[in-house]
Amino acid sequence: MSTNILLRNNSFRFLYYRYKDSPYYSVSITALAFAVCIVLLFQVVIPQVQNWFSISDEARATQLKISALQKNINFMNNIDKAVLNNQFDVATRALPPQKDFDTVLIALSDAGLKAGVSFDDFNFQVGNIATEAAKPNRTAQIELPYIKLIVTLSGSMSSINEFMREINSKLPLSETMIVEGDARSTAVTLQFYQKPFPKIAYKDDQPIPSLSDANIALVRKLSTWQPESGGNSVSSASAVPLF
Amino acid sequence: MQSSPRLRLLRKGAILLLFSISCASIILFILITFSPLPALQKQEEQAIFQMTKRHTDIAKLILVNDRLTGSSKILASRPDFAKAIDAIKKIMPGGVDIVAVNLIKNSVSVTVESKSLVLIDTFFTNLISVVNAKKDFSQLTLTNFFFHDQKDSYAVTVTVTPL
Repeated sequence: MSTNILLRNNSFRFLYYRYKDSPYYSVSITALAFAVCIVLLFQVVIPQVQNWFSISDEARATQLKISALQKNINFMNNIDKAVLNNQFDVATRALPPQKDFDTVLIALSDAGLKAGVSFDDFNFQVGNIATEAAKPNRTAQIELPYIKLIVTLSGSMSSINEFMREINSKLPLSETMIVEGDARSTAVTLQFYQKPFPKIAYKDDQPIPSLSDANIALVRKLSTWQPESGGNSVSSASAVPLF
Repeated sequence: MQSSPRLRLLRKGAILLLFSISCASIILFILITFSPLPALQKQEEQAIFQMTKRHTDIAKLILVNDRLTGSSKILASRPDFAKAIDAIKKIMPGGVDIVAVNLIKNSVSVTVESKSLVLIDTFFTNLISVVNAKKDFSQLTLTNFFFHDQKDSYAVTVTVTPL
C-alpha cells in the first residue's frame, strides 16, 4: 500500500518535473490563480461588501434613532413637571375617564348657586355603569360617552339663562341639549362627557407631541372653569395606563 | 524554456488580481471590525434607559393632548343657548318679556309676551333685521301668535336658527 502512495507521489513529482518548464504548467497555474480570485471574490469580498453596507445602514439608522431619543430626552427635561401635572389634572377634570357623578353634581350645584336657580328634580340617565362604559351612547357629532341628565329648574328666564352660561363654563365639560320651559319651571337636558383613557402606543424614538399653542390656551381657559366647591384631586378610579 | 510575452502578461494579471482581492478583503475586514456600530448600539441602549424614566410624563403629555383634542371638539360643537337668548333679549323692546323657551340644537324657539302690539311689531322688525343681516340667526319662523284673554296680552312664538 505504501508502495502505491510512493508511486503516486513519485508520479506527481514526475509530472511536475516533466511539465514545469512547459507552457501547460504556466497556463494551468495562471488559470488556478484566476479561479481562486473568482472564488475569493464571490465567497469573501462580495459578502463582506454587502455586510459592510448593511452595517453602515444600521449605523446610520442607529445614529438617527439616538438623535431622536436625545431630542426627546431634552424635550422632556425642559418640561416643568408641576405644570404638566396641573395640565393633566385640568384636562382629566374636563373629560373624566369614567362616569364621575360627584364632579357633575358639584358643577350643577355651583352653577345653580351662581345663577340663583333652585333644583326641583334630577333625572340621571346613566346607562350600564360597568360594561357599557367603553361602548356608550353617542351623539352624532361627538363620539364620546356621556351621562345624560335632565334637571328641572325654578327661576326667572334670566337666571335660567345665567345657569346655562355657568354650566357651560364648568368642569366636567357638558353640552346643553334641550331647554324646555316657561315662567314656572324649566327642564334642561344636559350631557356630561367622559373619555376613557386610550391605550398609548408610543415608541421612544417617535417625536413627542408637544402641546400646541391652541391647546395651551385651552388648558388655561379650562383651569379657570373648575368648580369652586370641587376637590383638588382628580377622582379617578383607574390608574393612568402606561404603554 | 522562455515563456511567451502573452503568458507572462496573463501571469502578472493573475498575481495582481489575487493581490487586489486580498487587499480588498483585508480592508473590508478592518472596516467591519472597527465600525462604530457597537458603540452606537451601546449609546442607544443608554438613551432608551433614560427614556424609560420619563415614560410616565410622556404618557401624561399624550393624555393631556388627547383630552384637550376631545375638549376642543365639544367646545366647538356645543350650542351656546345663553348667547342666543342674550341676542334675542338685546333686540327686545321694554314691555316685551320672554315667557317660554324651547331650545334644541339649531333651533331656538321663544315665546314673548306683551300687552302692546306695537312693541311686538318692533320686536319682529328688530328680529327680521338681525336675520337679514345674518348676524346671530339665519332663519326666522313665526310659529304661533295668540291673544291671552286672562292676561290681556299678546303672545308670539318665534323660532330662529342660530348661526
